[in-house]
Order: sequence, then C-alpha cells, then structure tokens
Amino acid sequence: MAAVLLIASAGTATRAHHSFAMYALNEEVVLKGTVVRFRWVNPHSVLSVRPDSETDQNPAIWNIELSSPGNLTRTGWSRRSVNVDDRIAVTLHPLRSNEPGGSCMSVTLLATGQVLECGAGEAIRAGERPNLP
Amino acid sequence: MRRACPSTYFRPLLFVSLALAVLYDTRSASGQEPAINRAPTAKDWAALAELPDWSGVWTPNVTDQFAQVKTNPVPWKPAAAAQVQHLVTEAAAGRPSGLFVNCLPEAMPSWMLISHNAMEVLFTPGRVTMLGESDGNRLRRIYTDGRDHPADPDPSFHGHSIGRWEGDTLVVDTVGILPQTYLAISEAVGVPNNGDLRIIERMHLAGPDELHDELEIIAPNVLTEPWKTTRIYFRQRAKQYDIVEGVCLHGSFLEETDSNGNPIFVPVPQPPDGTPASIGR
Repeated sequence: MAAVLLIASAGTATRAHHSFAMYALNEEVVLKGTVVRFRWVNPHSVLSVRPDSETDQNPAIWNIELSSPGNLTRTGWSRRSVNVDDRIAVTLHPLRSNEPGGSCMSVTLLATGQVLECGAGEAIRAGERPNLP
Repeated sequence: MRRACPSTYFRPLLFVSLALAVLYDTRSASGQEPAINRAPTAKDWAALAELPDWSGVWTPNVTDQFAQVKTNPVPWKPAAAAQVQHLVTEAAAGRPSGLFVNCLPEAMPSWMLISHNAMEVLFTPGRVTMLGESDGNRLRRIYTDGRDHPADPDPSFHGHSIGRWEGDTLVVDTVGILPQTYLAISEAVGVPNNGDLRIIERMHLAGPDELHDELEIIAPNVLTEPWKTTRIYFRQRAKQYDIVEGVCLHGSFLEETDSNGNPIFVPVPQPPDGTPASIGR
C-alpha cells in the first residue's frame, strides 16, 4: 500500500487531460530503470519507473505520461507492450517543475532492444493524412 | 382533381385525409409540431444512401489548429483578452491551467476547435450524430428532421442543434449551450462563453477523404464580432482507427483491492495544491 501511495503522489502526471506546457519540450532526459506500473488508461497512459539511480530506501518513482490507448495503438503499442518488472530506458521531456516526471518520447525494452516511440506530437501528427495504414 | 358530387366522395376523402395525417404527421391546422418522432420508413433509410459519404473515422489537423492561434486570432473583448493573455503567459511559464482536468465535456464549440482525437459521424433518418473518442463525452445530436429549436431549451454542454442539407453541405445551427463551458483555443487557454452563444456550421467534404467544418462562433458576451474558423479532418478506414472507449476520468482512479478482495477503483490522491487549476483564482 505504501508503494502505491508513493507512485500516486509523485508528480502531477496522473491528473487528467491537461496541456503539455508543463513539460520542458526542449529538454531530454534518459531514464534507465524498472517498470513498477503501466496504466493503460484515458486520457493519458502512465508508465511508472523506479530509476536505477535511486536507492531502495527512498525510491522516487517517475511517472511518465504517454498518449491515450487509442492513439498509442495506432503507433504500435498494446497494453502488454510494457510490463511490471521490465527493465527499460525511457527518453522523456522532464517536468518543468523538477518533480520526477515527464512526457514520453521513446521507450527501449532493454531485454530485447525493441524501441517503442511514444511522443505525443508524433501520434498527433500521424493522424494528419487520410487513409493511414 | 375533377369536381365530384360531395355526397358521394366526402366520406372517403375525409377518411383518406385523416389517414394521411396520422401516417405522415403533417402539421395540424394550428401549426404545432407533432409530438412524436415517427418511425422511419424504408424510403427514409434508402434516402440516407443519397447523402455524401461521411463514413469512417475522422482525425483532426492539429498542426492547423496550432497555426490558427497566430493566423486567425479570436476577436476577444478586452476583458476576455486580458484573461486569455494571462493564461497564455502562465502556460508559457510551464504552469498551464487545466481547463478540462475535471473531465466535464469540452462542449461546443471547443471540441471541434481543440480536440486532438478522432471522431465518427453517423447518419440515421432525421438525424446526424457525432461521437468523439476520449475527451470527456463528446456527443452531438444534430436533428435534420425539419424541427425548430425549442423556444427555451434546457442549456447543455453541446447545445441544441438543428441541421439541413444544402446540396452536399450540412448547415447546422446550435443554441442553448451552458454559459460555463469554455470557448477554448487550447487545453490550457480559454474563457467561459458567458452565455448567448450561437454556432453556425457548414460541414462538407473538401476532398475525397477530407472533411471541413466551417464554424461561425457568435459569442456576444466575450467576442467583439462573430469568429469564423475552419477545422479540418482526415478520413481513416483502417480498422486500427476504430473508435475505442475513452473514459476521461479513468486515469483519475487507481486499481486497488478492497477488504473483501474485490478489484475496485480508488481516486488518485491529489497533489498538495488540491484544487484543479481554474482561471480567475
């Protein structure tokens, strides 16, 4: 229960349906760590990661925001693309408030090397043509 | 019609007239609208095939939405403009207001203006219905059965919409929108419409797979003049674009287990500042 509360209170990425202006869109951070939760939900899916750099005594869980399941599906994701305990490297735009969180740009599954793009801008721009495959 | 002896033809004519009135719901002599939606006939369903093809899933041109913030600025009244400028400044500083974090519908016209998500348009006799994916219950019912607006509609998020086809263009008139809903130009910038909002739309295909919604937004309490803007959508036929359910509040709840071992939803604890951001506070 305590771990759940830590995840929930870390950062504001779990709030629904807001602007991406809270992220530093001109900055990139690469986070390597372990998935502690992946919520496949509207309006924004959330990937919660315990970075390798954090100690077990005081893990600052990073909540990383992705797009909606509908949009993610159309850029190659499924709700099983990432699972708890997966080792991943995430490239993200960090929160401007310096809280541990950010908006997802790409995820690399370290076990297989597979790269999943998750930039919100890409998902949106992808819809700007007709008859996409 | 040939003149006929009244005593011979009157009763059958009366019967036929009454039957027609019942079957086709013609207006009564007093001009009142009929109180029921009559069942569609096979002819009504067949007539839908004559309408332009708006099937499929429509995805918005978001790049154009962003561009129009500069190329087609909203004619805000000074008081509204000041509020908008404050929100723009706050967003640029990394503190965007969450106009829609409470997951209430974006409402008309904002869902046509700012949504980044897909929608579909359904034709049934006497009606055009638009449904959006995600973004808090995007659902519009546009009545095309010739009815007028009610004299005093209950205000709602998407308003009361009536439409008629002019060739292949659907002309829609919408009134009766709640005054609290935002006239928004982004998820972080907008002003409550303050009532008396009216929206006229001309929706039509601009190409085989491109739908345009030409909006005229009449908001006398926040705009100096009606604002015209066109929103552009692209058709998708691939099944992976099928509209999926998108409950806006879902992300505000966590999956946990209660004392009986049941899986339940529990609200996400809110950040210390508590209240959702809102303008003017």
